[in-house]
Amino acid sequence: MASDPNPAAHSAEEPAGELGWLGHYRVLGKLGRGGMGHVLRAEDVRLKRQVALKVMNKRFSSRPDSRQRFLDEARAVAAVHHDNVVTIFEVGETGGIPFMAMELLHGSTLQSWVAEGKPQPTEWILKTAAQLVSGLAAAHERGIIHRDIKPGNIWIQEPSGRAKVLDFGLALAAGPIDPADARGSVIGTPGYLSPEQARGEPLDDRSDLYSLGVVLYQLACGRLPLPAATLPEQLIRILAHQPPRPDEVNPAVPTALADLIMRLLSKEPRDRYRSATVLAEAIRQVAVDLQQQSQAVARIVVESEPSAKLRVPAKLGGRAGQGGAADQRRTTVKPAWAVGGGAVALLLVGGVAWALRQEPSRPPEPVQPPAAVATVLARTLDVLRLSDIPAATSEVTAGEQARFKVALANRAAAAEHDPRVLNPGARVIAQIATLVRRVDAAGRGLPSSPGFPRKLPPAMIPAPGQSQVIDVDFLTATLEPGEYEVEFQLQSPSGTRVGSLTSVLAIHENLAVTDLIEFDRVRTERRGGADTYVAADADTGFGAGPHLQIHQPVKKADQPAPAKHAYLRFALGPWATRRDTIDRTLLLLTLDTGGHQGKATLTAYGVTRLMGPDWAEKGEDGINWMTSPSAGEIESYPFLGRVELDNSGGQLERQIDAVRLFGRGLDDYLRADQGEFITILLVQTNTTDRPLRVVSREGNADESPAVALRAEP
Amino acid sequence: MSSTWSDNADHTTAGAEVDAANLSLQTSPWTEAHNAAGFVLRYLIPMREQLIHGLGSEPLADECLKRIISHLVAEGFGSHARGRLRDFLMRAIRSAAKTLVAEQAGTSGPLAQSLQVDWSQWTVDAQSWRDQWRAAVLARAWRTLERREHQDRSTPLYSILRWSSAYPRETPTMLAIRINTESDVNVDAEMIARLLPLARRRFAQILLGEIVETLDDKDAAAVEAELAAIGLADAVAKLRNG
Repeated sequence: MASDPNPAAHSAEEPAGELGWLGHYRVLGKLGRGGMGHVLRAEDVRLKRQVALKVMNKRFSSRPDSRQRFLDEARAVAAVHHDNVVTIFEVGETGGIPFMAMELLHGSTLQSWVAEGKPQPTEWILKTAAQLVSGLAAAHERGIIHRDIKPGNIWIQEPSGRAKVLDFGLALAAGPIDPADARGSVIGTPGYLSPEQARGEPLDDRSDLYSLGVVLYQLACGRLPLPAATLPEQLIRILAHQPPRPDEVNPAVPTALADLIMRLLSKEPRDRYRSATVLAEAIRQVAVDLQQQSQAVARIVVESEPSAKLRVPAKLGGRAGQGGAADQRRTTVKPAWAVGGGAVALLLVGGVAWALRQEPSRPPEPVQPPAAVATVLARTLDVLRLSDIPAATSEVTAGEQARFKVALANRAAAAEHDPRVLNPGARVIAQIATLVRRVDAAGRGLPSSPGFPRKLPPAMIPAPGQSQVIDVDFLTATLEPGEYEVEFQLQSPSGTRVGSLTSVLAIHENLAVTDLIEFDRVRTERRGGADTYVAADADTGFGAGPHLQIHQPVKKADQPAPAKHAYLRFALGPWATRRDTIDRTLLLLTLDTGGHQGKATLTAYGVTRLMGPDWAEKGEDGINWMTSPSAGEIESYPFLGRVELDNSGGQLERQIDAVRLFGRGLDDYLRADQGEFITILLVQTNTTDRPLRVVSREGNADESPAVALRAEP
Repeated sequence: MSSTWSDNADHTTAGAEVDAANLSLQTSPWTEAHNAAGFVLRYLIPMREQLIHGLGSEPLADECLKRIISHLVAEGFGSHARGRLRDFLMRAIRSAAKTLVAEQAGTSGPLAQSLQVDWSQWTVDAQSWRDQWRAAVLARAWRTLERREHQDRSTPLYSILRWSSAYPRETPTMLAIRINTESDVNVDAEMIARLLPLARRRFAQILLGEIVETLDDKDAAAVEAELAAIGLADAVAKLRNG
């Protein structure tokens, strides 16, 4: 698209294909179209970044009230900064056409998932729901109601799987039927309208919770709760019909989740959860309940140096929790207790005297069945003491398992004081509950429980005068990176605190799955960069090819194969003079087709000083095995990091930047003062039959190797 | 119209809040609604209940409603936009039901023989219809009061009125204990004693606002007549007195 010397002169009313500029945004293409306008891919030429540009269409923008409301609400939403709400960079108006510039996201909307009509795994639903509710809560706290929560307005980012709410506050109509359209077209999405929306009543935050309930129902059941063929039928069903319970439609849906969804789908707002914040706690509680009832425990490989862990994300577009252990657990997690029925509607059917005397209808509360085990009184546990053991996790990467060891001592002076003796019929004598509280610069937060208490049966209670080492593990998936105080509470089985012990834990950002929004990517294709590979049996380099080969071959007497190493040179540009500001870094690679399919380990070394800044990747002066550091003692070079990747079935091939290598070694190397250029040597440290193939800058500039750098906040 | 309805019974210290509630009386009548179908959806539940009551069939009731909504989307209220909305809607559901029953009678479907409809019960003043209408108006008023409490939880008028209505013999102290125990609203006896009269007046005003919207005439006599017709006159009078 040709640039225009006078960008502002162009009108946003032109079709996207002819639209060159909108203010300082250069339109690069069309991303989609919604009820209110177009979404365009554009470049902010001032900040040199790509954005998603939402432009209100003429039909809406011609109404002054709609236009102003669009601008007002967009500006309000722009003030919401939350991981689960799309970031709005700018809200403006040009030529009478309102627009907003938003972050350009990778991934897809939830619509592409629900379109398959298949139920999703419970764990994934809960995880996604928790994120969406968190985003909704942030907006609701500012008085912003979305009004159009539906799968098409929920984005699942890749590769992190993070859910983001799009299009906050942009439904402009007060009712479901558009009065400006003679055909009575619907504003909003009929299947997701709340009853109060269908009635055209004033909305509050609980309308969004209803619509979210529809989305969760759809994820759990693979269908809408109240499907209808026509708009009138849809409205009638929303207002007057009760949907079947999710666990009736899909027996694999746990009762606790079905109860939660049904409460969200209550016809009356007062019968739903009071707020997104309250709903968030309910979702967390459902997750805890299900976890408690599941005997399966996910095991995660934990290395001794969490900060040096190098991970490769699963295949992009893969769905977290789909299949595998999560699915297998689904049928085992139905809680023993059940909430009878959904919430009761409060339509009154009598005179006011009658009506005013009716007991307020409230959602039924879950009732725990009476315990079948003997009661353990907290005072019988006074002789038990917790103490610390040095062998504990002090650092962990977000999402992985934190492991602690505590010592439980029994200080009973005589057998009659021994808790095991005092509680002869108890199957559980005590429990250790874990509470974590953030204590770093982000502030001292409220304590939360990252997992369920560790139950201590009689066999785990030491004899009087002795102590027992007990492992306490918990997953950090729900905790933000930061510094935490960890409290282990010794409790009676009913939760009464009888003692505690505190420790600390640092949770590091998991760069294997995090979004790289704040990172600047420097590719080998940048002017001054280079990429090539050398082979042990060749006296030339291979810098002109479309891919790089990296290989440590299996030794076969009849089929000798040479080792192959890759060299990557990056021109850091402005980063060269601000290296002291570097916070985190990654080396990013895109695997090409035709290479090794399976597991492989890549190790990176820093060879900038050995190579100098000017080595050539091809031609007569191109480096080869003998003229490169490959001929030397590789292990003596600065170690930058290692990544274990799994390309089974070619799942990583052509997934842009899917191979991520990161760690303190790489961070430190890039922070060191070494001029504008850095060179990295990549070798394979396991053996395989075929070499790995990495897309080179000659193969595809946009997929060429990159270092991603982020400045300190 | 000769005079508009107003609530002169409010003499509380929270007069400003009550004045705000009076705004509902200034809304336009149903005949001026921009969106006929959207407006009528507010009363879909009593229409459906009445259809089920008359036809004995939920699917047939829903089919009638679909036709009514589609007609309103296409035609609006047309030349029938006058008088009481309650009457208009009864005529609409009767017309739709008669058409549907006639269609069924002309078929060999299973409903053709079983549909025995007593059309004498489908009048604008039928007791069942007035009962349905009263329930709908009350439900809308409760919903409005609760929505306002949700927006401003410092003045829990809905909770106080709802619980005091459910337990009218309890003292403010007992009621406070019950509300605090059984709901997530925090009140004390003094607050209940102070806010209950206001809650009653507010509820009455909301009810009146609902009634006014269903009439094409805001004349006080017309409003009082409608209150009496649907059996709310005495209740509203008591509520207005706090």
